[in-house]
Amino acid sequence: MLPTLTHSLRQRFANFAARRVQASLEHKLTQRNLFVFPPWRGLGFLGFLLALWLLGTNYQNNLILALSFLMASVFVFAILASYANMQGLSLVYLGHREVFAGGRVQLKFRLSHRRGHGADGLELAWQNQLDNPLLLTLEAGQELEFELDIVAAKRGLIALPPLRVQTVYPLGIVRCWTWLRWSARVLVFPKPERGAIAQAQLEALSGQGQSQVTGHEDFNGLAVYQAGAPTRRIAWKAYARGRGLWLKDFSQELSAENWLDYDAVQASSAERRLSVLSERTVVLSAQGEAFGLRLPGVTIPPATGVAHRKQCLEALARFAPTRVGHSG
Amino acid sequence: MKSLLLRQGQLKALALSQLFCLLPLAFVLPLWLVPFWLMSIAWRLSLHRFSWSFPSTAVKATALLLALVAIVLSSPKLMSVDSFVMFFISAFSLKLLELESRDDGLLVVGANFVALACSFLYFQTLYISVYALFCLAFLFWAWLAIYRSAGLSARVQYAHVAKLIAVVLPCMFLLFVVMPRYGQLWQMPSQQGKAATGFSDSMSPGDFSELIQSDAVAFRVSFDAALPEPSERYWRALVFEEFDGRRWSLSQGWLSAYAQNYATTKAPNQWQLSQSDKVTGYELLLEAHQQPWLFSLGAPLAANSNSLDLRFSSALLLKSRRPVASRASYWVSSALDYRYQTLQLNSTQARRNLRLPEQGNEQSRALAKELRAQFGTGVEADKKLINEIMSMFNRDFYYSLKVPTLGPNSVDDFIFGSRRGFCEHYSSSFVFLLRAAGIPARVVVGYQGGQYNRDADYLIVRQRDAHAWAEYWLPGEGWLRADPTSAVAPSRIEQDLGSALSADERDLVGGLHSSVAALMWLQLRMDELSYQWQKFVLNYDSRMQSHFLEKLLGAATPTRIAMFLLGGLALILALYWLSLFGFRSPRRASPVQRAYALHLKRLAKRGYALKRGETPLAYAGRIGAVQPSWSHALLTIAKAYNRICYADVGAKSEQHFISLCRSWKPN
Repeated sequence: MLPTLTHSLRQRFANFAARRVQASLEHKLTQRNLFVFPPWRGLGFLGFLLALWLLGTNYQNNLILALSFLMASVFVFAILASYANMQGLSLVYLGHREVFAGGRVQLKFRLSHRRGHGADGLELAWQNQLDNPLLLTLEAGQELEFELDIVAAKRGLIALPPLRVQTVYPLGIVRCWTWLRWSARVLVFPKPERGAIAQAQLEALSGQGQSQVTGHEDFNGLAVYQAGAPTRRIAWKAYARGRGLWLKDFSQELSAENWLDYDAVQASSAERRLSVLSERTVVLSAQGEAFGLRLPGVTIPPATGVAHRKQCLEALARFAPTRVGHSG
Repeated sequence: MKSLLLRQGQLKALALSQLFCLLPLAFVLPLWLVPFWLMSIAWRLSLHRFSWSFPSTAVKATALLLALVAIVLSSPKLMSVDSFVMFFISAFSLKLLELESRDDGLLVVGANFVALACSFLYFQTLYISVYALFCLAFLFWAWLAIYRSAGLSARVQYAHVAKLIAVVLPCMFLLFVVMPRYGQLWQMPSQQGKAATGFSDSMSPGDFSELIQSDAVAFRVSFDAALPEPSERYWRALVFEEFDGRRWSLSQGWLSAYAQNYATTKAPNQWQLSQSDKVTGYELLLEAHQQPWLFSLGAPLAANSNSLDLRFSSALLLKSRRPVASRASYWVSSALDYRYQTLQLNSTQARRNLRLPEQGNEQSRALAKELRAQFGTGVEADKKLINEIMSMFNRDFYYSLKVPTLGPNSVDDFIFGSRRGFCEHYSSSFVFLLRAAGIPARVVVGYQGGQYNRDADYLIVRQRDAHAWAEYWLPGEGWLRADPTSAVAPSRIEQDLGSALSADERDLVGGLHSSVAALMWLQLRMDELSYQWQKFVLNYDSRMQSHFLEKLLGAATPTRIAMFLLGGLALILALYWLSLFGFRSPRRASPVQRAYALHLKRLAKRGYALKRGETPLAYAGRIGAVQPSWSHALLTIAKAYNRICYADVGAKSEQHFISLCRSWKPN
């Protein structure tokens, strides 16, 4: 009876709180979105207070009464102090690290105070994992960047769950909290899995029928450095002579294009194919080899580099397989 | 959510605050509680050092069982405050054994509050209150330590405590003054640990000797008008009518709730009282003596109290329906000059006040018969007879506290043997002689005299002022007071006990003060302080409250009181809020930064706001590209700002930069 009642009350409150806090990338904690209420142990403290008041009244003992009034004052103080601890804080969503399905995504936030105050005993927890909060202390006059993670179960766009920021500081008998909703979305890449891609088809698709046997030493010249290029391609000799960063250009890498084709993947399901392509994308990028990606309806021409890798992985993450046809 | 664990430092702070809060109780409760608590706390604190484990359930259950047995064995009455307090302390001591998380810590904090409240049940002096304030400051410190992050400097910690106290104490005073007081809501178990003080409900030879050596305050009185003369200060409490040869006691059933009581605030008509207009009003602040009887002068005409359920009882006495378990005050108006039951004594009363044991004290009986034969009968003869006894006491007897033990015929032993004694001996033998001579008489006990505190205008009556005297009844005259002690030692009545004693006996009496003037002065000042404390703080009840609020607010209407309370609380909390956010901006910018901020503000007004993360140079370049005429000035300012921020430049170039920022305006 009681658990269902508290659950329904919680639900109602969550709805109420949701109406007061708009989804955003940045939240300021003000009287609009902060809530204050004693937790169970705070109600216990009120119980002690009431017991002392009764004792003092029944024994006509003014000192005991004064003590109960003191406890009541402490309670009022706690309400104000816990609110003051949270008020004026601002929390900004800064972005997230890349994540593959099945992992945890690290989300980066910045915590600061509008007037440079500190805040102690902050507990931050996602709605779906309240039991394991992150504890933070903001030093006065400082900003704090921190990461929180959530589970990325499936590939694709996922929304951030509501974040609860709360504190029972300074006395533990009053809780001040807020529910923050985020407009940010996280794109989860398909989980990398090893798998075979039909070679013949790959060659056929490459359109030139050249051998995949490579001669890395076919040095072709120097190319302009691009961020993220593999270190073994950097022309260290040129760098040592003070001519800046250049890349050694190998002719065969330009010509021998690898095509990662969705239809060429030998796998049982669409998700599995995407996983294999994801794995190839990661591996080839790490090796610095050029490759292109071909998905039904999407073709990304062969290239190298971080941007290319990201483009490919995003395409894989967003890909929506149509049910008919491509179930190779 | 699982509560966080306590650090060792937090544990120690909590343990120490509990030690302070429990300390006063160690003086009133059985001593086994001290090692019980110490062992619990020592075990808990040693867990960390010796990497012991938390005690098992079996150990805790055994300890609880032991504690329960000890409580049962050490408290004479099971349902008493003492046993509850003992149970509470042992339960919380055991809770220490599993003290682990912040929530447990909070429970200890709550327990410490209750422990302080319990010591207030036993002590209510000014000193204990000052001590309690110290305990509270310590408790707040330990409490704040539970929830703050580690590694805060001691100064900041003290500042937090100071801030908390600065908010909480004024709020408490406000609530104390304004919150309504209710009478006892239901009957509470009495406090067993508090022994009854003063005399008991009977008197045997030697009972008073210990009392007379005590300096403890029995009650304090402040009079509405002039202080009565010392010879008028007979504070009546009990009337002893039954005598068994040694022991005087109350008439049957006087103490029971069903005794003839008149639940009025005015003297009942049955008393057949006739008085002159010599009436005095006084307020009496009574120390808890755990007895139902109250003290009053002469014949009480009217009385009321907020804390006591007053009753007018037979023999011109006042009593409370329940034993006075906590300090209480009541107001009485008394007639000092009065006649009582002048016409006749009803037969029960006459019989009771003439009754003597069948046998014993034969010599005294013979003496009474002899005197009766000598003076004859009639009211005048009775008066002569009484005078003769008084002068006999005056002639042949000594006032002394060193009295040989009296045998079963205590009256004979005294009158014909020792002839030395004090009030109990004189009153007892006086009443015996009168009864033996056929005059209805009884022993009255109470206090006589009191020390007057001239500066604060009140009378302190101590245990050593305890006194016993006599009352006898004559037809047409009613009940009259006779104090045989005054015949022996007039100075006992006119001054005090010390002056009635010989020099070598004076040491027997409590109170060094009578000999050393400076100490006496100090003692009076201390008593004054505690009297004010009791009168205005401990005794602040609904009557005083409405009086005070009326004076403060003009009229004590609920609206005004509520406004006063809420306004006061709002003021205190607003001051606290201002201290956090209002008084000053926590990070004051340097003049250079303010000058640059002004520059940025001017540009922002023209629609060129600084973008987040933009460096000064990039910003100047961006705007310079759109507004070529500003370009030079903007770049100069940006470069100068960078130099000041990142290179060590002198105050002169800072000044130059500031004037540059101020003078240049975008146009």
